[in-house]
Amino acid sequence: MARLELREISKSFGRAVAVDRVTLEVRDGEFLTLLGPSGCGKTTTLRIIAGLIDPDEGEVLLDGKPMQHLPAHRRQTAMVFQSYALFPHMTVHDNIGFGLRMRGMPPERVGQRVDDALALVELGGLGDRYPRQLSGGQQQRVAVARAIVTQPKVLLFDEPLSNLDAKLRERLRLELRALQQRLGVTTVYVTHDQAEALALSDRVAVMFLGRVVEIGTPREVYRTPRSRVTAEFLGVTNLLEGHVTAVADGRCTIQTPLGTLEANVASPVRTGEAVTLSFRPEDIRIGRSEGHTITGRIIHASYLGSVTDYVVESAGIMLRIHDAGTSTREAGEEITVTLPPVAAIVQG
Amino acid sequence: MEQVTVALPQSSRERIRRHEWLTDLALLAPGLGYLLIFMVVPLIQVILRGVGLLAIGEPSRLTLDFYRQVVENKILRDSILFSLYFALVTTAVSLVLALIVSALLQIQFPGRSIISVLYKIPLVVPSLVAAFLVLTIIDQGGIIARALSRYGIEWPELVHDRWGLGIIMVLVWHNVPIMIVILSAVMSAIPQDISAAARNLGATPWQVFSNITVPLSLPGISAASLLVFIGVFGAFSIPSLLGAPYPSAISVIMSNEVLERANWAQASALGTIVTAVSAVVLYVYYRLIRRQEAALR
Repeated sequence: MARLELREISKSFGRAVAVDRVTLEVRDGEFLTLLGPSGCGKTTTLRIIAGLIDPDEGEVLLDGKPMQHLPAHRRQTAMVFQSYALFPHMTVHDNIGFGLRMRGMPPERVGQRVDDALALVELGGLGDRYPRQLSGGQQQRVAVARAIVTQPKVLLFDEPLSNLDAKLRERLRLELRALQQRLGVTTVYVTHDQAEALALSDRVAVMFLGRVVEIGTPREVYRTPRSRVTAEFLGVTNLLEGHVTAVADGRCTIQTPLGTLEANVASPVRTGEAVTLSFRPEDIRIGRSEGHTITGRIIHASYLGSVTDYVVESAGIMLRIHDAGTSTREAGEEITVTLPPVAAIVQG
Repeated sequence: MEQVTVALPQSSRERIRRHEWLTDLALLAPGLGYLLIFMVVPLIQVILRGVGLLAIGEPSRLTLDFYRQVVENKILRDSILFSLYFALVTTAVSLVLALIVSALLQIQFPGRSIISVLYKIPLVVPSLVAAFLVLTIIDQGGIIARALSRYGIEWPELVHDRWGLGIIMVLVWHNVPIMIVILSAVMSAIPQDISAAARNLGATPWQVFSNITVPLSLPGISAASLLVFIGVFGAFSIPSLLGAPYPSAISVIMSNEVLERANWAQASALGTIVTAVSAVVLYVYYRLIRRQEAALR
């Protein structure tokens, strides 16, 4: 069992606040992703968990016990670095066995455990190679094997796939998730890639300017974001300003320049309050359908393969629409679109 | 476009080639000439004098007598061994101290900037001045000895002693900063993530130092050790000032052979031996460094 808690963690470098009162709980066996743009404090948070950086305030608890007094080498966390940080003067075998040797495990047992780890990441037979003799993907697997072989209580990943090409990244993403589920180890994963965060995680914590602005399942943070930052950072979104005209049964009606729309009420709203609505480009349908219908003119159309991305102007508002249909429409064409029946209200 | 080839007569082509060759030579002359005049010629002179040729004040004849002298004469033999001894000890002690200081300079702590200035002081103090400093501090008539004598404590002989402790102390004092400059540069080039990964995998600070920092600093360690060893092996001023009457450093013996006995040939034979030993060390270094660099590439 390994439950990780961060309580009111803060860290500044000079005048720059890197982490600002972050409170998080990672459940036993959970895969939690810290998602955010560069400089949002996600890597600093990860390094604070690992004990590589001391926080200015707050505490890190593992299974309810404070870890603050423990130096990095006694934390029982294992980290996979963005640069992989493999030891260039050691073979793959010695790299993977490093953590076990440092803990004083006899060489025969180290050998057995390393062989098992190599098999787990499908690198059997490459134990005698040096890191420089491996491809990027293989180096990444060695870094993962080196981390899991010590059987840590918490696995930490710092953008481990960012140095790989798109295809390999996608494949390793699936493998990482499968491996984590098989081992059942509590995992904190840092990335700025929203697709990676959605595909891998049990829950996603969105970070911005050193703070966790939202936390939820991938579906929750994508479909019903509560903050504008989350809505904008996770893929493309349409934001629409409006006023609440009625609130009833967990839903509210909002008057917008595009007409009256409905939204789920996640936090209390009052009639007359100004709110921002968010809905995804794939939620808008071209043509008449169930929901509020408007007409608009196509400003720009780009074919993206699986969908066509349209920029449509209606009542002075630009909408992004992703249409999976096969028919192509040209810029300048007048079209009718149906807005989603329910949108999300976002704060900020 | 049509290509036009003009055939030059044979004599013109030769003239052009000769002209080009002369231009190349003129361009190379400043660099090559310097090497030739100030390095190769004196070295050949020393080697030839060591085997009895180019003799000064006596007839030249090819002989290995001067090398036989080195083998048979205990004073000469001991001088070589003594020089090797203090060069090796100085290199080893300097290396240990420099490794510790360089590793400490990699981490942030209060007073770090002061230490990083202080350690460089010996770099700007001439070794002769350092030798006098040591004399006034640790000689038997020095500050420490006088202070202790009040309490009836006898200060041991650390200068002009048989084991060359005074020599080693000053040479270490002088060479540690050179090593630190090299080692700090090499250590700061080790990516921080590598050390962080080692700590994260359970390595104590000492284990990180011995398993990661030292192996990854080997190119710097060997370069610094080589520089110090070669410099110290042929050192003259400090061994002559702080050394015991016996055994003497090889450079002191060479100086005596020339200045007191005008024996240029014997000094040249000893000089050739010093050069040869340094060359062997240099060769071993390059063999070593090639393997290390291949392993780290």
